[in-house]
Amino acid sequence: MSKLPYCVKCGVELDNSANKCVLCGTEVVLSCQEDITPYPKEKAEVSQLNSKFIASMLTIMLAIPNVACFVINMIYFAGVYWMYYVFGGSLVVWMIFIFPMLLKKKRPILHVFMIFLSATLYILLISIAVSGMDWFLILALPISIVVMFLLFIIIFIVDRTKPGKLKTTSVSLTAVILLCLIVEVLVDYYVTANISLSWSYVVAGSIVPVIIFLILLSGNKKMQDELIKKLHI
Amino acid sequence: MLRTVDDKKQNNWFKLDNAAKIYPAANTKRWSGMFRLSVTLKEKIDSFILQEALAQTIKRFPSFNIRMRSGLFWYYFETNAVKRPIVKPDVNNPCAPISWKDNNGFLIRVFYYDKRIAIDYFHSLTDGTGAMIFLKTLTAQYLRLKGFDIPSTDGVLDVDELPQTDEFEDSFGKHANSKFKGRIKENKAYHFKGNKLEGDDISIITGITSLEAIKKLAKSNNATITEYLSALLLYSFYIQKQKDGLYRKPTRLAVSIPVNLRNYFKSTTNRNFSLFLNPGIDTIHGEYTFIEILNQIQYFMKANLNDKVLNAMMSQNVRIEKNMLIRVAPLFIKNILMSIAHKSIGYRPITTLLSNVGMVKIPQKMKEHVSRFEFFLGSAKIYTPFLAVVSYNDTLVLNFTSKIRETEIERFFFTYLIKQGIPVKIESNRE
Repeated sequence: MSKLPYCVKCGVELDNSANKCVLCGTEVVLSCQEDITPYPKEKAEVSQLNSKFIASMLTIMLAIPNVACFVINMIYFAGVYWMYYVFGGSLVVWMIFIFPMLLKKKRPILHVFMIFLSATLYILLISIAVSGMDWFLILALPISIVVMFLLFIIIFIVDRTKPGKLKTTSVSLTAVILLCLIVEVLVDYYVTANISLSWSYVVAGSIVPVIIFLILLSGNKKMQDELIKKLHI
Repeated sequence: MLRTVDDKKQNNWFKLDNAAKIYPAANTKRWSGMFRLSVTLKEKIDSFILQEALAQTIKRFPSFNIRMRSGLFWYYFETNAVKRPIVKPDVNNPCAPISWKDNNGFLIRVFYYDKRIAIDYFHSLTDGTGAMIFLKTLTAQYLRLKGFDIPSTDGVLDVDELPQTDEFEDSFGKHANSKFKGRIKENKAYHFKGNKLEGDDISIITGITSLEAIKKLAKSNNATITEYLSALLLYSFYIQKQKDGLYRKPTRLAVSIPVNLRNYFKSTTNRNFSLFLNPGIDTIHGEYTFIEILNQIQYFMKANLNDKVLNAMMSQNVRIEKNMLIRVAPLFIKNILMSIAHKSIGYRPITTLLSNVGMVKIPQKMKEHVSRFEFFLGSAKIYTPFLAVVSYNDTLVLNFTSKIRETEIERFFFTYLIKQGIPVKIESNRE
């Protein structure tokens, strides 16, 4: 207890174990770390039981029609497998709504990826069932990959730069334009093997002014207030 | 643990008192109405002896020896005779949310860390006064088991004695008899916004200072300690409000101060018996100095701190509870309505809260073993810093708890005291 640390900025006395002032963040030069800290480091974790319990209940509820359909399919329609549709659909629903309940934190990238996997699997099952592998490879798979990557990019930008609502909307709208362009390219290639863009220009042409408007608006607080005033409900 | 004849005798149940009813309804996975009292002794805590002391103490307190049960219309407490509460090593984030099945169903959590015994209480059980009696009795019993002779005086109860019925009575129901109807209209108050801490983390910033020095400072302004500290707390929020714009709505700033009704009505209950008074200022009138804020708080307290006004407030609350329409609503409907009410109305009229449990008195023989008491409020649903105050001997402990990263309020508060020439020592659970 020879030298007690003080914060030079706030003037408060600090605990022997402190290495910075908690009020202003200034580092303490004199500190002896051997001392017992005023509070333990371990944290109490609140049990996640509840959301897991609800998730498992919903899973069971979702499993019931699947089992029923499986049995009916096996007994009455041996040889014709329509069971795929039910199973794949349930899997996608599960990934979208129940999977995030099992996560402790929000993890949007993982969530999107899991939805992509399940949705692709669902489409694959359908394409096997209707024996149309080439539309799966040329149309379905590329489109779902593109959607996934566009979502990744949006999540990444929003996560990193934390733009406001207006900029987030304009980023998402840009992604919509890109998606339309790619979808048209793929559809054209699949149908005629001859790429000529038409309707996606219409989409782009009508969305681009909106994006420009949103970007201009997002930098103009006065204009926003004016619009809120004139248009409030 | 064996179930003894003694346990079976305690087979009993209680209605929740008037103030207790809101907490189970407002309870969520992320928030519980919790508060903590702790005592720091002069030697390291022996957890085995503490466990034994707890088992003996809890039986003396029928209103603590319970678990939460739900009836068709209301929750109720049922004597938890078969099981025992377990003492645990302390954690970094006190007052974490509670679920009815935790800790063998008990609504208190007893922790130990180094030289400290800490108890987290669910607010339905009791208020600061009752909780302090429990903590003092547990500590005395712990010291007795360690071989010291501690008398049962100064709020320490004798654990071998049978509990008196008035110790667990519902004093609200007994004393609320005002004919006055109506309620003071309270405007929406300013809330300080910050960046929320993650998960169940809670920020604790403790200021340890001298009781005598603060008393002198308060006296030089003709104020009590509670008045002075709540004025300073409100002033700290006022400084932040100034940055956000004084005339920007909401313009009211109010500090909620729990009042111990035992000082105004005859009661020795260990259950809830307190009310909130919300003095404050309105910045629509312009700028305020610290002294002006202090005066506003003092006028309000002088006008309202008497048995007549308090009885009117209490009766109003009891009248809602006694309303036939509310009583016949099934519990789950009550829960939904009360939790919405708590979220929307509960924090509406207040900016912050200051709770002062005052000076802790303990038997002379116990004093040589105790170095200080601490008091913490659980996190608020509005995340902003709330202040809890307790004093023992010459040590005054000021505890800020919040759920936000920012420390502006705490920093302003403590540096203000430093500028008045009062030394403050800071401790924290933050990294």
